[in-house]
Amino acid sequence: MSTHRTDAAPLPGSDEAYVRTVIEAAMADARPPLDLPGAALARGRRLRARRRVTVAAAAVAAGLAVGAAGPWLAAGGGAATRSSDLVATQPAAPEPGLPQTPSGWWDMPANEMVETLTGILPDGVILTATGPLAGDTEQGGPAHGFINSTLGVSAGGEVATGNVNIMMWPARTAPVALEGVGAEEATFEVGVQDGWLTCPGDLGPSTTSCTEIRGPGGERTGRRSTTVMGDVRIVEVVVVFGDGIVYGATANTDDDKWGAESPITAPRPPLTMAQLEAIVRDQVWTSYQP
Amino acid sequence: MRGSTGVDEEFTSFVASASPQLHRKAWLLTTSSVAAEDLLQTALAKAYVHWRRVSAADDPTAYVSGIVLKTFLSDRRRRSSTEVAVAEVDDVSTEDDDPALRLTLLAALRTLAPLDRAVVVLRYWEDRSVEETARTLHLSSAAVKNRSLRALATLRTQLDDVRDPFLLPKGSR
Repeated sequence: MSTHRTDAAPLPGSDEAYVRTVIEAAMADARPPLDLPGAALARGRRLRARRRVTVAAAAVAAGLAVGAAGPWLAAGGGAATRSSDLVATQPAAPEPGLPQTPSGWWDMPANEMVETLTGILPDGVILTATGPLAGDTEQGGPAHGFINSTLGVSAGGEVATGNVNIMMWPARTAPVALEGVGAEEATFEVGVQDGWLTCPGDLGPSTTSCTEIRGPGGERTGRRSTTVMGDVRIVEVVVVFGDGIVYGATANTDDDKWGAESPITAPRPPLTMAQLEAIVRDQVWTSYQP
Repeated sequence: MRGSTGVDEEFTSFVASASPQLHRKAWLLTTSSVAAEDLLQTALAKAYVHWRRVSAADDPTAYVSGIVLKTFLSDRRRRSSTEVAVAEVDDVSTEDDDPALRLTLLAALRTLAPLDRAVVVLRYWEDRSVEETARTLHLSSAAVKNRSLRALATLRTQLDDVRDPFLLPKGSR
């Protein structure tokens, strides 16, 4: 493999020449795995998806936002998972090179998501702030598939607040036809391949509990997890519904980015795990037709 | 403007053509087929993310080869600071009819420090000059020469067993 060398040629019979010859002979028949192109493509897409949510990295590192990449990968949009980021980031137009995203119930407009959430909140829990929505700010909030709202719970004559995130995105990006690879291999299974449905999967070290939800055939259909960072408690549920995914998260803070330093607003999040899962599993999300 | 399918086709076509060379380099650096595959996939994923820049390079294969090396070195640094190495995973099987030479070579390379191994791969596999190797690894030319000599001495000892049957007459150096 003499492609770069500018030094004088090694003396025949020298150690240098011998090592060169051994390497050439030893590696001549080495072959890469046959499925490397498909595997590299899938990994590249995952990496790209993660890079596109760079702001979410902090939250992910803190054990949050398991599905944060989903909607923004799906939308080909900006890097945001928390309200401040949403205010600051205008979802961008789809970029060439990003997998094509199918439309579906996960495209429910954000304002409709807020109305939907308000209608299925458990007794005693109210929505106190919608969070940024499309057109609310100069930069604009999320147009569809994602809300970051504030909930309030009456407690002893006062209202304790906390955040709730609901995100929805397709479980798969559209297959792309690749010569020699096959559409199935080229398909990017959002959630499954990224460890969003496994324990500990992509969760951080602050996760205190994690349960995989399995279907009748043992297939992974979701995950429940709890994360504690300092006084901040975060409850997360992600569930696959056919060809889409619904993710819900709630925390006892109003902070834009949830972390150990976030000021807490209550001893616990405004929703319990059971209440959050009931919201995530509500059929109203999947009933939307774009 | 290329659409996603066009980019994907271009990328997979590149991988298909360049992967034999890149895979061998990754294997020499890691000395393990499993680790080599992981290293190569990681490097290729990075290349995919920056595909427009990679494809615009004069030599995309050389560009990605550089990513392989940087990923290997940075991964080694990260591992060395966070993990306790118990043992390297040996390759216990290959698809070759006669894997003895490769296994011996990989075992010999495994005895070298990662940076020395990188020097060997650049100098004696990619045939890069001392100066170019020094620039690539952010070392001085003297350091590259010293590491080369030290690595050669180690490899000479390790590879002595295969010297006779394979390549050179005994005492020919």
